[in-house]
Amino acid sequence: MAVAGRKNTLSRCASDGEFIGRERLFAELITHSTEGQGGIALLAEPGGGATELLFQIFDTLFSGGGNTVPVYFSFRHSGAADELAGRFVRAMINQTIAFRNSSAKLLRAGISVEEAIKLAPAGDEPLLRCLWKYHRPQFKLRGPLSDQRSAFSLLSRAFEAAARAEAAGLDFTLLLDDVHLAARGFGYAAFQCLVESLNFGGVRYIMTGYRRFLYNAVNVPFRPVSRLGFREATQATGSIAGRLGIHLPDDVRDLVAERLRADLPLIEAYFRDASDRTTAIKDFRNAEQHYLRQIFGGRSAKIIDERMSYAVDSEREIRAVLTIANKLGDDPSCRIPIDSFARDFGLKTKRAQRLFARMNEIEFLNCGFGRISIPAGDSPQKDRLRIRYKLEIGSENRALLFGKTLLTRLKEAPHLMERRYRATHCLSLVDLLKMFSGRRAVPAALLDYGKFAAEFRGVPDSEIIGDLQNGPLISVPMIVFATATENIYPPISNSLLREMSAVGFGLVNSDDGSSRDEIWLVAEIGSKLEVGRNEAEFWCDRLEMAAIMSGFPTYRIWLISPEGFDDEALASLALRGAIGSSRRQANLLWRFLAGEFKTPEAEDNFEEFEITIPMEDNAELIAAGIAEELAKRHNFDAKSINQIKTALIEAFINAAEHSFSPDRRVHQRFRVNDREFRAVISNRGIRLSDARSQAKGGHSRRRGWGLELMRRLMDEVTIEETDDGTRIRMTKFAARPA
Amino acid sequence: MTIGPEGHLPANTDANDPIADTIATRERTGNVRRIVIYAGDYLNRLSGESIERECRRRLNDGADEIVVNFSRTEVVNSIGISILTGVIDAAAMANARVIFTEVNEYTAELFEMLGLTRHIELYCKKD
Repeated sequence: MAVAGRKNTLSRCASDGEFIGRERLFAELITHSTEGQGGIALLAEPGGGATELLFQIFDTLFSGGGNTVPVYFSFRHSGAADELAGRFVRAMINQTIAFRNSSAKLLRAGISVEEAIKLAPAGDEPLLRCLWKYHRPQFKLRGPLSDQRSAFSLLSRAFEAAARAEAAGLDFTLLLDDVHLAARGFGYAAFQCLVESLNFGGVRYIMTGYRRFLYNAVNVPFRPVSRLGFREATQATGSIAGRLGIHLPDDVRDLVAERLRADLPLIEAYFRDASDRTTAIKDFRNAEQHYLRQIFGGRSAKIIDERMSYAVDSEREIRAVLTIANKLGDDPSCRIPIDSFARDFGLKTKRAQRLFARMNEIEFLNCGFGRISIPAGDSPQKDRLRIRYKLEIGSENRALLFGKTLLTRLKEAPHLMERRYRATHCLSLVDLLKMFSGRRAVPAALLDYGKFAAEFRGVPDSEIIGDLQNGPLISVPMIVFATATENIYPPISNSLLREMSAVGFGLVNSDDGSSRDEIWLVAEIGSKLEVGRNEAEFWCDRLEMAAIMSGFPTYRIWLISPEGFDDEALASLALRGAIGSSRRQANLLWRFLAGEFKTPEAEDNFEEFEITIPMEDNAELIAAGIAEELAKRHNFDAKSINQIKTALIEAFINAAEHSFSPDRRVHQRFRVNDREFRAVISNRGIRLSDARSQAKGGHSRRRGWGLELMRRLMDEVTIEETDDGTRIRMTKFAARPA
Repeated sequence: MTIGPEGHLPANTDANDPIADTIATRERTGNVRRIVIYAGDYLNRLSGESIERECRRRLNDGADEIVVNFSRTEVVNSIGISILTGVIDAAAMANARVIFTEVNEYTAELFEMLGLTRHIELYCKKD
């Protein structure tokens, strides 16, 4: 990403182009920093580069020529409360003066506050003097935990400097880094108090901290900062290596990015060490060897240990973590209860709970509902824990361990990259399922390989797209949540890469408008030819096992293979109610769901009206009258117009009769062109299916006629349950001349 | 079959009356005591119940034939139609015939869809 005119002040990137990814987030944060109000919390994945993001914001504001003063403050190396309080007030004052003087040197000059204030512009001097006089720490503490109340008082006083500056009209943005360390060092209550004082004072700020800590800790808008995706991570890796004077081939670059799991501080440390030792990183052997050196005790190991120090307070706790990590091994489905582990290890339960909650925050381990598990996949953190266990608790021979591990790693490296390349080129099934969130039907030929092969084999995409418009539809559930199958059934990872199988939790409409659950399990399977019956059944069995073990009452299996399925396989899938699609279909489906198939003409010609009508006697005639006028304008024939009117009246009556609507209104949206008349009628209140189920038994002869009429008079009718009411979608196609 | 003068509104009817204004005329053709009821322009719950009430009263008075004239009816809804089934039931109990006359083609289609035409005689409007 390039930021015009920016000079580096804090950023580690050598040039603008070196800061990779996050363009939209960066733009949003810059806008917030100059025009926004209040705070934004960046929920940072450890190693995701949130600090560098704050540096970039700082540099952009500092040298961008605007009026907003950037003030960066990190809670890292906080020390005692009085030190931190003093550091914060100094940062406010010195950075404001550096900005006013456009002097990056002043940021690093190490001059005293009194000296700096002498350099302040006349307009700022009284305020800055006042900040120093009233908000600097007035006394020293003997130790960080010696006097919690005094520490609290010092910190509150210091952070009120921001509110005072805001009240005095100073245009500034606070960039607070590593805020989880504030809670770690001075207690959660102190952290909450700091945030509240910023919020109460109307201070504009951006804070970053570990996402698992911040998510529930602050009540301000938040944005996630996850690690870069593989492609961007490889770019960043190449860029960091280049900056440190290390030239490496693309395949090695990719291995380093993958091995270090796109953890930018670790990647930086990896190359910095290589640069210091003048280690050449030319091939997989060099790269793996250097990686192991890092994990056994290089800069990367130091960073990992530092992160772990956030969680552990003593040698005993370190041993507890190493032991449990070793017990959990590589099996993410293994869950160990904290209570029993604490008992076995001689830790007090509360202390163990706090320890593993923090291990969860740094994402070395997962901890929830009183149980501990290990995150899926390889990572430098896991490697470091494993090595430390073997060296520190297992007392293994270091050189022997290094040699053995290196051999294993070298054999693994090509497979690691193979998995990555496969994952990179797979369909992102979770995202595909998530796209089903607003659809109830898709063209059948996009899912059913039999139909697709019969009608569209060898036909160009452009022609298929045109033909699909008029083809039959197939119902799909409204997916409300999708995740990797591995997350609900870890053993699937023995058969499929994480990215190659997903599960979507959906709702489908029954004929009476009520909803029922339907879970879709989808897998992308590899095959050079059309998949045969045995292979299709094998994969169905795997997914069926996931469904059964997860307790899904109703589920549907969907297999996607590069070349589709042969007839026998399709017959076998049909027997199980499963779906088989080809990769090409899935790509087309993706485009369809993304809205690419809507032709501009078809969209442009629609006339669109919205009307809200109170539920009063005969108000349905108003809706019918409007619909009639619209249909006439688009040359619908008299019979169709009458049918539309009657169906609309029925929809309106259903809403008015059964809903006990709190607002007593019916909302209607019409979209009409010369080919079709679409109506959406929605209302709040008791949902139609609920009203019908309660009404069962009485007046049976008179029940259900409205729905029956709508279905018979219109060409498409869908009844949807909304959160608080019912929505009926109806379409009437214009009669075509015979 | 001759329906007679019920095909036209009686002279004392206000054709602009918006509600069903169930207007009944009574006549005797031979031994048949026929009652003619005129439905309003919108057959909904209110007008349907009005027709139903009038029919039941006339059936109690000994009517042999109920003629419902839909010449003014442009729009019907399912509740109005469902109430007509009450008229049909009551007539069946009293061994009376039910005839719907001057029904427009769209309304006739709805009656057909909902199965009313199995129990009544239906005559459509002549264009």
